[in-house]
Amino acid sequence: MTVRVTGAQKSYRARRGEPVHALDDVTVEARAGELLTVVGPSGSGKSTLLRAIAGLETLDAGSVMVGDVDVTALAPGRRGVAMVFQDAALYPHLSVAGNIGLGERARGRGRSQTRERVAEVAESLGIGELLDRLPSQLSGGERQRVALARAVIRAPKVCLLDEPLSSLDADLRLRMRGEVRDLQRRTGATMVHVTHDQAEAMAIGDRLAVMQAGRVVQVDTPERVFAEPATSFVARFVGPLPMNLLTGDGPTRGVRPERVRLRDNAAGDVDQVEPGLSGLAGVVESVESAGEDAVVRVRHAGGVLLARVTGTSRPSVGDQLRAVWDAGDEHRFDRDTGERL
Amino acid sequence: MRGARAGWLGLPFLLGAFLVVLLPLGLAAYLAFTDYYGFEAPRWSGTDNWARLAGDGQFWRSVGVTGVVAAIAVPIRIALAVGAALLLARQGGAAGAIGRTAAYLPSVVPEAAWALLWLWILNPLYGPLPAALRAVGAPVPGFLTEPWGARWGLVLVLAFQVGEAFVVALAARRTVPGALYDALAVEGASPWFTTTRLTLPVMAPILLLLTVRDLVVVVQNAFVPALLVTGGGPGNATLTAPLLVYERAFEYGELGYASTLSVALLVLTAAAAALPLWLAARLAQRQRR
Repeated sequence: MTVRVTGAQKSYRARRGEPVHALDDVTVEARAGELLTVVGPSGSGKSTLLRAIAGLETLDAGSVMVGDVDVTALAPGRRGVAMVFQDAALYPHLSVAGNIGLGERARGRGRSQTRERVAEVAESLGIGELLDRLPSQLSGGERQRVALARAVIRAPKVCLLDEPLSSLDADLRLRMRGEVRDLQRRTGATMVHVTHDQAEAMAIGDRLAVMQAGRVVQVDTPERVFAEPATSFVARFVGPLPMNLLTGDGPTRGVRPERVRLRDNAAGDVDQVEPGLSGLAGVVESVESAGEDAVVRVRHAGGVLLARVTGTSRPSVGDQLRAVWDAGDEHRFDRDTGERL
Repeated sequence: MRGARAGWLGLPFLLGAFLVVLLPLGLAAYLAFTDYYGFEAPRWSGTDNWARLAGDGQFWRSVGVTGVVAAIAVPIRIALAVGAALLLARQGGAAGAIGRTAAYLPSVVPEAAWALLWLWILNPLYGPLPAALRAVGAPVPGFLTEPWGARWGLVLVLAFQVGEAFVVALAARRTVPGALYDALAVEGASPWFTTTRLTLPVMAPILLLLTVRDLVVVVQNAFVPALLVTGGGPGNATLTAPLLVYERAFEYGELGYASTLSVALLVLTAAAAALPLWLAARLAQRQRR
């Protein structure tokens, strides 16, 4: 089932001063059966967008469609949408079984039917052993699995995930990414997943919707968002390292640190340019080890440039060198608007 | 070091607690085993007072009256306090402020003034409550003239002074994380379901503590209205235990025996409070996050 948000507006009145636009004319669609990841820095409006889809926030303007139904005016419970909350939001007074089953009971399902269904869902998520535990007796990963089970038990056509993994430690987060993906594949539900972690977004999203200051600035597959960022903001936000941006008289030029090669320049030669290459001269400011690779900060006339270099031949701090890249690897953005040219 | 120094700040409080609570309690415990009339030094009488207490029908009847009044008044008080708190918890603006003030106000009125006010409200001849009941054709209990009418009168006087419990319940409601309500809203739960399956169970430990506190308050406060509104009557129907202690001590001058009654009342109240306290601790333990 598709989820379509059209022209969504939402602003909060700050106690003093200008109202804050949490959502500024947001139009975005999650296609049936896809996992759309909404990603952006904190305060970009991504959680507000998710809560608006769920019905937990009302929009000032715009509409939300779930399938063919306009749910804009419907209460959260009537939208047929399941949701997984940040920090799991488990009911502290109920056992795991009680937590998973409470929604079913709220929808009027009988006690014994609910119990059967709870056992089934818990088994499928590998928490069948935990049904009698209380939330206070669970680990972070277990809590999050219970939260997933609570959403899955309704066999939802649409499932919303609000930073479900952000409270987990790194190791567990990697494992749970896979589980969320699996779950989506198994249930075939349309999922809208919100995160501030671009690595998580790249890893599990079929498509990304990148948000900045209440606006959706790009919606595309992770590969294309990485390869062709729509704005200089996206270029810096998405990717293991932010894109280098070089400002000058003309358009802003951008190059990924992964595409930069470093060459010896003991002579301090500035003007040496080879055909098909762009480059600049600079001094190594720091070298940071990143496993097999190293991230080198090169101080140049216009600022600092990052380069990710492979192999063992790492430069040392203070080395004079040239950073070069293929002219074809260069991105160009409008100097004022930041839009891709 | 800092903790040790901060500890000194508690000293005035400890001193107060010692002078106003512990010392009188200790004295009462001692006097409970003496004959003491206030004119000469207390005379040790061993367990004589306690033997008398065991056979004192009037005391046990007064305990029964107190128990009955508390058993009716405490649930009503808790229901009113919690009900008002739940209704007003999410009510912002002027309406919320007025509502919260209205709920708290009766607790600000001095005991004696409150009691005298009810003496007028319940008056069978010109009181507004009997008049209102007559106007709608309802049966009018003799609030001040019949045993059960008088007990209900006592309950009414006690029922509305729930300001402190209201404030605690309001605070307790506000500690329930909003995300839990969001989660249940997405499930399509009705307001009734949300209240009975989420709000009240999560608040349960605090509600039980409130119940214990309220029990103690009612047992104590049953004194003023019983003295001023019903005077213990008719025919000792509202002679509550604290009123009996008061009469023994200050009308009959039996300070020793009155102390015995006081201590016995303390023990009985503590016993009644033990079960809900134990339950509250268990529930809180269960929910700890």
